[in-house]
Amino acid sequence: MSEAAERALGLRILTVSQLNEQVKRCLEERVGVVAVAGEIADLARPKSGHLYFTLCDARAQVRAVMWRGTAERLPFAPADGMKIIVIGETTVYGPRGSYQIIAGEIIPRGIGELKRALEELTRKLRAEGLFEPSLKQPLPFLPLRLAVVTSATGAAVHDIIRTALARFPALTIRVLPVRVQGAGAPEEIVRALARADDPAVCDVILLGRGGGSLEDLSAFNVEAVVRAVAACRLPVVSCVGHETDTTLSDLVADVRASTPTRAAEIAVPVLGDLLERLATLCARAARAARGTRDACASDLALLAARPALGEPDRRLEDLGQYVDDLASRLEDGLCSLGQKVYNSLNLRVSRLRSLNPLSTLGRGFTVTHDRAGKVLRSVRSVAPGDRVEIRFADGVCEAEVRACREESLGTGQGAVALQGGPGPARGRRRRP
Amino acid sequence: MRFKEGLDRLEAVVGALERGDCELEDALSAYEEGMRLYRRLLEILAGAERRIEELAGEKEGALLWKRFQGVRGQEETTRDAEAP
Repeated sequence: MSEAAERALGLRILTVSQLNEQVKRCLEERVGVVAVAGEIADLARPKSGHLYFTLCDARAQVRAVMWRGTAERLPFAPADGMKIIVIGETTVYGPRGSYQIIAGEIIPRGIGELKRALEELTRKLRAEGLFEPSLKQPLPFLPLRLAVVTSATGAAVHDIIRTALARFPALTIRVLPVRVQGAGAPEEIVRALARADDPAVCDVILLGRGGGSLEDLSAFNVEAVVRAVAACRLPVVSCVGHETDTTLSDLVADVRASTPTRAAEIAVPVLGDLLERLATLCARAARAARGTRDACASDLALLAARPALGEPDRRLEDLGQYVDDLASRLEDGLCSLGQKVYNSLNLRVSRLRSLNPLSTLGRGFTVTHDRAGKVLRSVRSVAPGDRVEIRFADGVCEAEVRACREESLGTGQGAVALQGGPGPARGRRRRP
Repeated sequence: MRFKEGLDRLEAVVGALERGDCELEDALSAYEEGMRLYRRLLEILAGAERRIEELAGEKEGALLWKRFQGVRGQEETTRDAEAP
């Protein structure tokens, strides 16, 4: 029958497949490789990683595809509405009977085009108030867990890890690897930010990449990425590109760092500084407490005669030296440093504790109160026959003053004569 | 207690001690509070541990982490380079 039909029509009857095959061959041979200017629409990037889009102008459109291997190497993130030039082969997609361009390269139509789109988006987001300083969150003082959203293979991640650990060697750093440029980069960044933005995951998020051209950084200017940064509940430090590069992600982040190294410096305090600050506070506390005690004691000279209580500057020097020593050990990058720091600082605590006014009591000093509990600072405040309470390190005794004698400071003995008689006949021991 | 809160409190306690306008008893208890804070702050620092991880996937909504490979590789390279 088909042969009869062929004879009647004077045409050979083809299957659909044969037809598509003929058109395909014709297209590939006669049209071949083309460069076409147009605007991207219906951009889709399914799991396969291939990039599908429609290239259109005011009156016509054509389907285009870029295979994954090529799409991954794109230096910028294509987006709907972007004006581009596609260079590729024309062919037929048989199953649909439609023709398409297999894109081998996509070139944004001029840097001017990217810049204009960027300015437009900037205006729009600014009008929405996304860049308002009032939205900026302060960074945590001591973030012990960092999330780093960047490429796992770039220099940025290593700069951040190296810098952060040099400052504070006992950090938890969680890297969420993403593509930072090319097709798919914006989606990956958005997803990684959503995952990192969880107080169970980290205390602060560092987002960034090394420097590059405006096209290279374009993923950080994609609206979805900018909105994802703005939506983070945890503070975000951005470090996209180098000194002169600024992206919209930088503008919405809580803090903008000029480089990845700088981001780590901003986010992470120096352990040695914290320890020094603590040690200084501890020394100040000891000195102040000692000062109060000195004011309360009636014999300054006696205290000054004790070497351990003198020379506060010497103690600060010790601390300074200690911190230097610590810093050099930090540079060794010992993982178990936390414990070592604690152990050695614990030692320091017990040494400082020996300067605690309470422990001074343990060395034989006592504090004398009147019966109302007021500390007696002068021999003039008591008279023979007064009942007083003498506080020892381990308890209190009640005593009665038998005699008073005023002496000038510096002889060192008068106060002892006053306080040194803890066992008057009528004294009664009492446990606190 | 967060580190910064403790540090601020310690600064305040030391400041009060230094003003020296309190009685000996108050100074002693302030000193003790300061030492407690000091020790607690050190414990926070000492409790920190070094972990470098990278996201390995997600299972039933929970993120899975594995040891970050980049750093280890780099350290090994450094050691190799320094070996005689």
